[in-house]
Amino acid sequence: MKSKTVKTFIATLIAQILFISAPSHSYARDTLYIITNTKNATQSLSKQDIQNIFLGKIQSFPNGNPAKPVNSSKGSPSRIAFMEEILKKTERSWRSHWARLLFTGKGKPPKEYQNPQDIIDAVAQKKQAIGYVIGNIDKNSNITILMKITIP
Amino acid sequence: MNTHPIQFNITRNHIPTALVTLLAIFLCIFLSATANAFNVEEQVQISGFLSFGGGISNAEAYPGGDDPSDPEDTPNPEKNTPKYTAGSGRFIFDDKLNFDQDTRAGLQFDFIIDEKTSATLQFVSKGSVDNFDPDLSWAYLSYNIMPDLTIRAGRFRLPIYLASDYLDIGIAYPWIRPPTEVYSTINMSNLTGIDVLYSKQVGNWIWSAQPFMGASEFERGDFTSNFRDLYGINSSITNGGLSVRIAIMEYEFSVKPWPLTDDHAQLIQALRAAGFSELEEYGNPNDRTTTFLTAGISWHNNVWGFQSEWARRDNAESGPDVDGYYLTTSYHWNAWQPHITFASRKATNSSSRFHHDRPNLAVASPALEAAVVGLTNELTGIEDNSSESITVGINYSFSDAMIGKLEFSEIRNKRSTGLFEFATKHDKNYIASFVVDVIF
Repeated sequence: MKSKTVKTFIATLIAQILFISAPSHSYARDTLYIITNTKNATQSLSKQDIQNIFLGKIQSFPNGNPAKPVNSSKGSPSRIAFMEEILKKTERSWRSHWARLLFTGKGKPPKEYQNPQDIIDAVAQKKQAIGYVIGNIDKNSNITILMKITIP
Repeated sequence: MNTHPIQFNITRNHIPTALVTLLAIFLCIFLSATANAFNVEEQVQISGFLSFGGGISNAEAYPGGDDPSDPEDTPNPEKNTPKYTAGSGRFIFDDKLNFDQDTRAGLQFDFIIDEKTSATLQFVSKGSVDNFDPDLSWAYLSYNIMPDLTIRAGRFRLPIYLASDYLDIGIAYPWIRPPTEVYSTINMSNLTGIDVLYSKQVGNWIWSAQPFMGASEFERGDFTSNFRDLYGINSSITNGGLSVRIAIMEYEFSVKPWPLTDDHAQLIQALRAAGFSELEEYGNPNDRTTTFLTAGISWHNNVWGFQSEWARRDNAESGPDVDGYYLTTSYHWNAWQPHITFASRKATNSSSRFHHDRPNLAVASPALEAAVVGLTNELTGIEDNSSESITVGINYSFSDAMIGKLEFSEIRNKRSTGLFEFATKHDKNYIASFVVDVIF
């Protein structure tokens, strides 16, 4: 048992080193929704607008109103999809991007939530919020879909 | 010869330090007084960085003064003065493994006072400055007037280079240290004053501007350098992975004491007596306006990265004008990132900047002329040289918060001693170095 653990550990280590990445990205074919509050004056955004807001390059919507992005926590399927489809960034480049801004005093990374429902709630509560979720969205909540992306 | 590079290689800041410390104490009192109303988790953000690095060079730790046949070989009084900081400035590597150049740690506290106001304190400890004594390097209040318009007051990083803001955060750039040829063109790194951060979306581009003003004072060894009436602005446009940036700045420089030493005072007396009082002012950097210009471009996707910067410092009268540039290309392959950098710097007015009275003085008194040239060289130090370098390196990301880097540089010194802390007799120097950069 013990030797198996060690073996697994070594195998993982070797895989890490060689970067044979584990097939961790396997989620069911699904839809990623970029959402905002229904009361937000902005009801449509381009991919690049969303990128700029989540990367802290700009802190407002194109109409000048403040934007409050809410993020999903690291490792969640929605974040993996969002990073690939919208931000086109790896976790590594995301982290070094925010290290740059954080230590510059030019911005702080978006607030993160573990639970998709918390993201929906946050967006439903705050007029200027923008977030994303995977899967079904409760039609009764106070949110509008800005963009719909089918995850390949 | 590499002795008193006055204007440009300076370390610490004293009077502003007192001010900034006062501000910090005030902040702490304010924060503890409101501690009850303060949700630590929500309202204080603590971030940190640490770099542990070492390197070795073929440049001997050379105190100078041991070769009477070499006119450039005079005792180096800087041997015991504080070393200049890593990230910009000269190399302090020699032929023994040295951990001081690239080892540093910092802690940053961001206090969110209300929705629009925050205070930032950053403490940094460096091996290359004061043997790891922590310094309060940043302390500023920032007020968010509206989205994308922020005003800051206090002490913050002088924002003239692409990587200025994160000079100490190794994880934010590919190299072990930003290319010295550009990043040492001015070594003042923190400014006490006010700046404004503004961004605006224009079509697919984001335009940003950052005007700043303030002052800085540094002490190095036996003299103090002042940067006053400093005004500048940087501006950039960004579209996806492409960014173009320019910055311009002007300041008035002075150094105290002046004359620097008794020998210097005697030289001035002698010049007056010989009727060359014009020359006495030569090399005097006081109350001159210096203009500083930089331009940079960077582009990256998830695989390739390209970055280049150019910097020019123009002194109104005496002192060398300096031009520096670098080109860096990097490639991401999984967690690996090889990169290569070409860099160069040169003094652009080394032939024309000597005073026209100097040839006359050479006829009247060769000894005095030699003393003037000696003093000038002493004052300008490394500023008067030209060098080129190639750096190749490979980085490995252990995680998104930890990178290991290995680098090898070849530096060709074209005049004088190059970018090394100590004089070196080599025309070509090599540096092999490593670093582990962590953020937390």
